Amino acid sequence: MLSHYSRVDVEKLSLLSDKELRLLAEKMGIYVPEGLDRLFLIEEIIEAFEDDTAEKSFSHDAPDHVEEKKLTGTGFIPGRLEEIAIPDRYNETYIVAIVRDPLWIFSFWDIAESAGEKIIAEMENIKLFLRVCEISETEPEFHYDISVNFEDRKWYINVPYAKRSYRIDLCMAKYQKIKVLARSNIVRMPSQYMDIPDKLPQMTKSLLILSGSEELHLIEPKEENSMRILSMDGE
Amino acid sequence: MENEAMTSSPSLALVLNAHLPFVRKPQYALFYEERWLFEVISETYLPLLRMFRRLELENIPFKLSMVFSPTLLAMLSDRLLCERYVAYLDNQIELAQKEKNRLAGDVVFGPLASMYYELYRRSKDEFENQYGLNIIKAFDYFSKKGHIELMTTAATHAFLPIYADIPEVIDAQIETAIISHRTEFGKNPTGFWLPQLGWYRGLEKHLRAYNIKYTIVTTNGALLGTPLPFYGSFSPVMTPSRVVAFIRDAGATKAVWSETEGYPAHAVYRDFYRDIGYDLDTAYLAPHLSGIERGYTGFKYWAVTGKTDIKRPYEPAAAAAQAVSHAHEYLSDRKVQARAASFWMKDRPPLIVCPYDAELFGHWWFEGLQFLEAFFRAANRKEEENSIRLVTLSEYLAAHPECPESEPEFSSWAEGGYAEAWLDGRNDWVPRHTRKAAERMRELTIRYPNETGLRERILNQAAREVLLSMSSDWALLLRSGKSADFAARQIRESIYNFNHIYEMLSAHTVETEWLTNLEKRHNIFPHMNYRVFSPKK
Repeated sequence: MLSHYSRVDVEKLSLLSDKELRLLAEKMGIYVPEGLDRLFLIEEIIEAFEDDTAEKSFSHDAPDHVEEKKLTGTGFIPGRLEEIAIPDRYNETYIVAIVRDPLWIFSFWDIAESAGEKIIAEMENIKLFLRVCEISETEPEFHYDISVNFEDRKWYINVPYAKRSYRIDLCMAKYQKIKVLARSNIVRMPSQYMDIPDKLPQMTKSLLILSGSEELHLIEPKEENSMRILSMDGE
Repeated sequence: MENEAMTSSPSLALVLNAHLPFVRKPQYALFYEERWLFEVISETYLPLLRMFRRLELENIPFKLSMVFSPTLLAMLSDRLLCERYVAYLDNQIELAQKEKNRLAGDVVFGPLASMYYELYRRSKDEFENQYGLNIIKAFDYFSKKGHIELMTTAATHAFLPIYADIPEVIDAQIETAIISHRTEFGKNPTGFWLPQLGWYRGLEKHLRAYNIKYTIVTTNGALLGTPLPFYGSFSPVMTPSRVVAFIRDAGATKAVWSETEGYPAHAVYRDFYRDIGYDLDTAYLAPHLSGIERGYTGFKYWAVTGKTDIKRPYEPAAAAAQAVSHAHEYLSDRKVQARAASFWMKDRPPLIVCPYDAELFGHWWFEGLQFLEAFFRAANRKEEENSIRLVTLSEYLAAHPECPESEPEFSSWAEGGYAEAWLDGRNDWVPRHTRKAAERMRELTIRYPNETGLRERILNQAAREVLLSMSSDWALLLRSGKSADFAARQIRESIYNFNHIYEMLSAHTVETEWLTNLEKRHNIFPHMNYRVFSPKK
C-alpha cells in the first residue's frame, strides 16, 4: 500500500531530528503526546502515510483515473514491438530537484565516469551524501544531510517546511573535507494550507467554505474551528 | 439586454478538454493503440457534433469552451489515420453484423447488437459523407457560430511544473501549440488549458508572453493562492502577469468525476469494463482486435450494476432516463450553489467553472452525451427567479474584465493535487531523459541558430521527438500499470530518436533515409521550428 511513499522508511525518517519529526507529525495532523519515544513517533508517521495512501487509492476520484480509461490497451505482448534501448546515464555530474508536493522533493543525480572511478578507488574513505539546504534571504542557511550510496541515483527527500525554498547539493566527504560535486536548482515548496489573515472579510470566509475549502482539507486543523464559527456567525 | 443578463445572472462555464496522445504507426498494417482515437471519434466527437446539430436546429443557444490538444488535431487532420478510421468502422460494422446474427431472437441482447450496428453505420456515414473525413472543420463551424470557444493546450500535453526550471521547454510547448491551433483554426487562441491543470508560480509569465489571456486552475491551487481569492472559486483571479486564472468548481467536479460517487457510477449505466473482447471466443474475435488476442471491442452489453461481477443486462432506455435525471440534478445543484454564493456576492454574479475531459462523455460514461444534451436543454428553460446562464470563459471575461488579484499555488488535478502522479516509483525515470533531451535541444539551437535545408529538417525532427517524449499521458499509464509497456516504449522511442539525431549532428553526419522514414512516421507539427527551444534573451 505504500506505493507513493515507498521511500518513507524507518531509516530515512531516522535522519530527521526530534524537532523535525514533531513538525512533520504536526503537519500530518498526528497527535504527539509529550515525551513520546522517537521510534513510536516514526511508526505513527509511517502509519499515517499508509492510511493516507490507502484512502487515496480507494477513492479513485482524481481525473487521472478517468483519463486512463480512454487509453486502455494491451498488456505486455512479447515480440509485438521491437525493443528500444536508451542509455541509463549521460556521463555527466549533475543533480536536479523537482517539487513533488509541499513536503517532498524528488531529486535525481549522476556522477560522470571519471569522477565516479576516483570515488570507487577510494570508496573506504569517501562518503557521499545529499545536503538539503534551506534557502532564505533573511535567515542563515539551515541544512541537513542524507547519506546515499554510490549506486543511488535518486531520492525522495522529506523537507521540514512547506512554502520555503530548498537546494540539494550532491556532496562527497573525504576525511574532514567536504566537496560539492553538483548543486541543484532551487525549488520553492508549495503551501499545504490556506494562509488565512486575521482580518478576512466575512464574505470571503463564507465563499471559501462554499468553494470547498473544508472538504478539500485546505484549512490547517487549528484554524478549522475558527473558520466554521465565524462563518456561522456571519450567516 | 444580453450584456445586462451577463452582468447580473449567475453563470456557468462548461469546458471540455479534447485530447489524446499522439499514436500513429504507419509501419504496422493494424495497430491496437490507434484505436484509442477511433473509439473516441465514434463515442465522443461524432456524438458531440450530432448533439450540437440537434440543439442548433431547435435554436437552443448552447455555450461551452472546448480545448483541442495539438496532438489530437494532428491525428484528426492526418489522412492515414482518417482512412484507417474508416477501415476500423467497416470492421466494427462487420462485427456488429456478426453479433446481430449471433444474438438473433435474443430479446435482451439482440437489440443491443443492433444499437452498436447503428452506431458504427451512422459514424461511417457521417464521417465520410457529411464531414468528408474532417471533423475539425465541423467543430470550427460551431465556433464561428459562437456556440463553442476554442482553446489550446501544451503541444504534447506535457505536465509543465516538472519543467519549471527549463523555460525553453515551457516556451516550446506553448509556441508550438499556438502554431498548431492557428494552422487548423486560422487564428491565435486566447485561452490555454494547462495539461492536467498543472500550474506553478511563474508559468503565467510565459503565457502572457504569447498573448494568452486566460487559463484554468484547480480549486486547491486557487484557494492556496496569495492573497486568498476574494470570491473563493466563484470568480476568476488576476495573476501577477495579468493572465486571468479561472477556478475549477469542486462540487461540479465531484458530481461527475468521482468513480465511486459520481453519476457515471450509477447502477443503470453501461459498464465500461465488461466487453465481449474478454468474454467471447478468441477465434471469433480475432479479425476484430487489430492483431491482439484480448482487448476492448466497444461491444458492451452489461450495466454497472454495483460492486459485483454478476452484472445486469444494459437497458438503454432506463440509462437514458437516468442521464436526464442526473442532468437536472446537476443543474439544480449548481443553481443552489450559485444562489448561496450570490447571497455574499453583491457586486458581481458568481461563476461556476466545470472543466472535464471531453472523452469522459460518451467513451467512458456512455450516456454522458445524453446527460450533456439534457443539461443544455434544461439550462435553456427560462426561469425568472432561478436561472443560470451558460457562458464561454472569454464571454465572462469580457463582461467582468476586472478580477481580484491572487497568485495560485503549484497544483494539478491529479491524485494528491500536486505532482505526485508524475513522480512515482514507476515513472520517475522519465524526467531524467526528457529533461536531458530538452537541455540538449536548447544547446543545439545555440550551436545551429540559422540552419536551412537538411540540417534544419533534422533539427526540426529533433524538436518533435523531444516534445513527443514529454506527453504527460505516458507517465500516467506507467503509474497505473495499464498499457505501461506501450507507454514506456513511446517515451524510449522518442528519446532514442532524439539521441540518435544529437549524435549525428555531433559527428557531422546525417542518415538521410533514416531521417526521411522518421519524418514520415512522426509527422506531427508540420510547421515545426526547432528554434522554439532557443533561450530567450
